[in-house]
Amino acid sequence: MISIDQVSKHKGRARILHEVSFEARPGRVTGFLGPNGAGKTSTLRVLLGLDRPRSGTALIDGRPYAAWNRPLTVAGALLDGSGAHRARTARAHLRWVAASNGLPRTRVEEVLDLVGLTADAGKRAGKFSLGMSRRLGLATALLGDPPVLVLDEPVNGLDPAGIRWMRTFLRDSADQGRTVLLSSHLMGELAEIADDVVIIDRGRVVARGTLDEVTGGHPTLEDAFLALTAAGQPW
Amino acid sequence: MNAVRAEIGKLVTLPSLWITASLTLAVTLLLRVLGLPGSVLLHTQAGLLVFGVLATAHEYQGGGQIRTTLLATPRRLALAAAKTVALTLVALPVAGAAAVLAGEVPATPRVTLSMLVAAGVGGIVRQAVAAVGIVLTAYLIVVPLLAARVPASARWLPDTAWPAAFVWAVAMVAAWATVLRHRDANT
Amino acid sequence: MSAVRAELRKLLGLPTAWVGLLLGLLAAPALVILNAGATRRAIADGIVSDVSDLGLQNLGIGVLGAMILGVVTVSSEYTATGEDSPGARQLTTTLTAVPRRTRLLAAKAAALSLVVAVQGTLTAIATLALTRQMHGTAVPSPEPVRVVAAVLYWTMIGLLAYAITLIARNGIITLTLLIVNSAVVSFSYLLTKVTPLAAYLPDIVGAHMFLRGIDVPVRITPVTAGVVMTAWVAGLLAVAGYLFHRRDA
Repeated sequence: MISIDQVSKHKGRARILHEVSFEARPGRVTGFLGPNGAGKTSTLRVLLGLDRPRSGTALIDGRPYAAWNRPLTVAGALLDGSGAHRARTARAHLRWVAASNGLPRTRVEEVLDLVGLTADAGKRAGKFSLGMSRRLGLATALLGDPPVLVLDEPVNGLDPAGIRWMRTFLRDSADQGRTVLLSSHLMGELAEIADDVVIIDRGRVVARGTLDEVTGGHPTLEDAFLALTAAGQPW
Repeated sequence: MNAVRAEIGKLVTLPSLWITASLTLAVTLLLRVLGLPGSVLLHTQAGLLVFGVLATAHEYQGGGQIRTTLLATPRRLALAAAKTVALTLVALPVAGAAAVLAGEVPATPRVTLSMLVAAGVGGIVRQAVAAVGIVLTAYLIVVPLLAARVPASARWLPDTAWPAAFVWAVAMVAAWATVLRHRDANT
Repeated sequence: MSAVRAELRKLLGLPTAWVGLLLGLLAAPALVILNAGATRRAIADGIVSDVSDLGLQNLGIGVLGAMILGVVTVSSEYTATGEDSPGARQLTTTLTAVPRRTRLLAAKAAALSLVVAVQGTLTAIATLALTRQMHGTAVPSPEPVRVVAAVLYWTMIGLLAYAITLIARNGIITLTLLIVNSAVVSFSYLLTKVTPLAAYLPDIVGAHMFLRGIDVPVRITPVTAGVVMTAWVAGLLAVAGYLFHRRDA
């Protein structure tokens, strides 16, 4: 369960998040939609304790992410890139992350297998293709087998087979009772898997609800999105 | 404890640290064999300082590892403490080996403390090349110059007396921990 | 020409380059002030072998700035630019804009030389003026040709740093090597105690271009020094150019 309540954030003079509030519930895929620069990534970074909000709270199962003792067992995050140092092998990367949260080494091999990187685990992260980097990032997120998954543009850089795999994986995760929050600017992609949708524009939440509620009278989610955000205004 | 183990794992699987340590030890031995006049460590401590800088600054090199680090250990002060302990444990044998090869064993604690100062600068500056430039200029040029020209300053310089070296290490690590705690995790 | 302008803009857009610029400009004048007492005593005791050296001697430390500039000109190209694309470096963009590699290297070298020469000239003027201010006629002004030689040396060291970084493709290694060698008791200088040949290493031979009273076991005239120094720079640039051509970007 993710609860974001009245989160505001400034960068210098600019206000990049304005009283953002929404929830993502267990057993459901929540899609977080917005044009580029709308505040999606900033919201996720605040949720994960990477950036600090000026006000408001962002909680995972009732506590801030940073307040959990072994946070990787509470939430797994996939942000851009692999999050691994270029010179380190994939296996060495996963091993130190596992050690940081007291997870067994056998778990490293399990997640490598899960994302299909076992054969390349001895390669340095800097030699990975874009798709392999994303899979290494996902493996890192899954190390603690967390009940909450937070993913920023998860299909970026994946090939068609990878996109289908990711979609199935996220659907299955939600069906097993996990909370899945993913951001995207790809409406078509999101309409395929999201149960709930939150739309953010210029730092404010402009719509939230189930996919049907948000789509409302519009023919597609894309039409609803363009009608609700600045991206839809004529220029 | 887990965080310390993770940080040690991170340091010992980083190729650039192995390269830096091996090069430093090899050059130290070479200079000793060549019979260079004066302290050999005076020159080769440069390699140890680079080691210290990389130990923290490598988090910010390509790949965005710092994000993973902060997701795995979100409590920033605990993270800084774990990093300091891990680096001390890894730096001590490297500094010791260099000191033995240079024939200057008593310098080991002072050099280890210098590596912590370098790590503090690396963590604050976050750009490895810039941090190396700053640390090496300070230790190899500014400090010896001040010590020679303003003898009264010698007691307060990080590289001349070991109580001062200790104070500098504590101050630098504390400054870095404060910065780490308050800043957004830019990558 | 447009390639040189682009490189100039790229170089001056780097924060680390400004560290090099300011360090180069300020270090030598600061050293004049720091050394003032010792210099006065040395003159009084008559232990300075060539008094006309004094104004230029302090200039040597500012060369650090030129080195940093030479290093970042290259190392900035090899730093990863984005998280999304693990292999992306600025160099890829640069080579798509200027695909002829020799031309690119020449443009970079030209931009660097320009910046470093201006920096060297300004620093030389400031340092000599400050020396005159502090010591008056006790330290005679060096002939203009020696000042020009000093600025030339400064520029050549910048190019040397540039060439070594291109060969090593790693700014940290080059910077370490160069700073260790600029230390108060320079490493090359100590090597001259082991073998006289070390006097022909770039930093020592280069200093002979504009200083007279250098304590090394061999006599090197300013002209010989200039020739040897040019050979070092040209040789290393040639090796760097050859490797840059052969390697994948």
